[in-house]
Amino acid sequence: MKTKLLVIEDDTALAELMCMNLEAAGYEVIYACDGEAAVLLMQQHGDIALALADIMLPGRDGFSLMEEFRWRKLPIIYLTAKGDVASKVKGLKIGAEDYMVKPVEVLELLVRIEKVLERTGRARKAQEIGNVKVDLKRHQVYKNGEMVRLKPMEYELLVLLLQNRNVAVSREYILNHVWGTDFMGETRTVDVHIGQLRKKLGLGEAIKTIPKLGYRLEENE
Amino acid sequence: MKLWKKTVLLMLVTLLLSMLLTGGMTLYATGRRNLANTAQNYGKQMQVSAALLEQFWDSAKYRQMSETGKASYRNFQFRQCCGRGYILLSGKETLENLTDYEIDNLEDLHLEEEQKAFDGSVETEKAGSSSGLNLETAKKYDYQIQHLNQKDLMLQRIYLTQPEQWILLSVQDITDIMKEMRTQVLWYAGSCVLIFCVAGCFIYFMMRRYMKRMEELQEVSRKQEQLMGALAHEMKTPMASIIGFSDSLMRVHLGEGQKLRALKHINREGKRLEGLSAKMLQLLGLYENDAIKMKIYPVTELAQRVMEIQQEKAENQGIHLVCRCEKFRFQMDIDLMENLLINLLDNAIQASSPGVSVQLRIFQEDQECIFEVKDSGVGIPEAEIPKVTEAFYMADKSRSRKNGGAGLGLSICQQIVRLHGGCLHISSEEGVGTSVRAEFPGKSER
Repeated sequence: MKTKLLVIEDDTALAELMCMNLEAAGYEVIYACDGEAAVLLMQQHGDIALALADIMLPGRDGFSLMEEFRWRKLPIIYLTAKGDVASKVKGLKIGAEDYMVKPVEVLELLVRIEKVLERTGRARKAQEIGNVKVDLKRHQVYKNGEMVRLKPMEYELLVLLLQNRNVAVSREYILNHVWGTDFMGETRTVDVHIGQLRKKLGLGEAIKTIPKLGYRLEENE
Repeated sequence: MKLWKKTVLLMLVTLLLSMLLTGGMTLYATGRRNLANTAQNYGKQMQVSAALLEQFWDSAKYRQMSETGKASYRNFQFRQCCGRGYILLSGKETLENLTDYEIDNLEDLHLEEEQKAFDGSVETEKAGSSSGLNLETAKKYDYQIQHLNQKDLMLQRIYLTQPEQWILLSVQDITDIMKEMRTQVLWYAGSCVLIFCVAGCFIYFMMRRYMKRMEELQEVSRKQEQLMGALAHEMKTPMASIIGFSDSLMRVHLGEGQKLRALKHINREGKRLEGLSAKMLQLLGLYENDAIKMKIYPVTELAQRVMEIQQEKAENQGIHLVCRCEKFRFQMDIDLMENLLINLLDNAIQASSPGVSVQLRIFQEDQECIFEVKDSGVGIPEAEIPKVTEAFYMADKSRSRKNGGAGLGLSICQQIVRLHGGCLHISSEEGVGTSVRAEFPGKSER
């Protein structure tokens, strides 16, 4: 069961770009081009986990949609070109979980979505890739139903790759997010751990090395 | 007050000051030299007279004479030696006076001799008020000038050694010299005023012209800045889209269909940017007036050219295009005018729904040539009519974007019409239709 996201965005090109990336990252995405359509979609789909909304929309704007979200207890991330502090403060004060100014990097968007989902208790309890299953609650990894022992850093790395599935992640990014910015290691450390993951879980094919970019955990449809 | 006016004022004040200062100093110096020369002349004369008087005077004889004898001897000697224009004084008492004036008060006279100050004043007997004293000191020949009854008098004095305590006072009329000097001052002042006025007018008008030009340039640069800002804003969205999709292509594992769609998006946004830059270039080109070639063409030719291009486009959208064109000739750059009408017709066609008609009328009315495009389409909200000719303004953003518009069409039209010396009138009613008229004052030829 994939997590369902609602994207409200009037620029079709940008909306398509977002849907494309989110779908690749393993979400189910429904899309509305204005406020009215968004309300309609919310009525039809009861299981939306998160809404990504633009503020400047034709018809009802993003701020006025807040009522609908609150009433449905739907967390919302504002994703807008309005970069001024006043708008940010207003957006966050009226109840948005997060506020991002366009243009947005895919990786950042995915992380923020993940964080909001964790905070609101809607995070995926388990992630699957091929025959590997990760129980995020118990921190346990199964391959073909059998538990596989992973070192803590290997586990964190796997989760990061899963969260950004189908998206290339650079070695620096991995270092910063798994080991932390204080870690004085080299990018070589990442390579070693990736190798371990490939060996232990048989993900040699799935974890692809992307030249000059980093690694990508690919999901074959 | 504006800066340039202040500058002009400052320049004029400086000019005036410098002229007054140099002129005044020159006049003062020459005047002094003149007076000193005169004083020297008269002083020498007086010295000669004094010397004569001293030579011929016999004090011993004089003392023995009776009062009347003394007076006549004195009178005789004085007349013989000194003559007209001299006064003989003994202390403060006038002994002989061969001038037309009478001493009034010696104390007011400021004449220096032998480093001793001496006071005195002279007043005429005939008509009498004395005017202000004017002290002038020269090294050798001390003198004082008094202005009496339109006459200028130069007073000089010498102490006689014999008879003792007597003083010889020379009173000379120097009206002519003073008059000459005054005329000089007047001439100078007159020429000063003349030069000042001429220079002032010249500077003022020159500055005003330059300021006008400057303001025009400022206006142009302000407009271009606005245009640049709008352009940057307009470029942002397609650029963000292109970067976003290409980034996804690089980083994200996409399916074949998705890859194709991303490429299509990039392609479309790139094309939009290209169109935008083409239109921008066109608009910028219109600011350079040299490129315009005005020629007299029959308007029917123009109408024909435009109709050929637009007919097909209109039919594709199911719109009936009607052209009514009077026969006359008009001075224009035919390429630009064609561009104008095509732009206007494009707008009209886009605003119309299938089945209705769009009308192009070219006619003359009250000495004016009018090109009118009329549609019965969606219309423009009244509040937005003044804004539609602004660069990058779009009344209906989503629709314009979908059709690849950049919001520059009417700006270009406006500029073209302006270059032809006309003006663009837009009247519209929402839901009823829009009519755009380009009106040019009577330049037509039969």
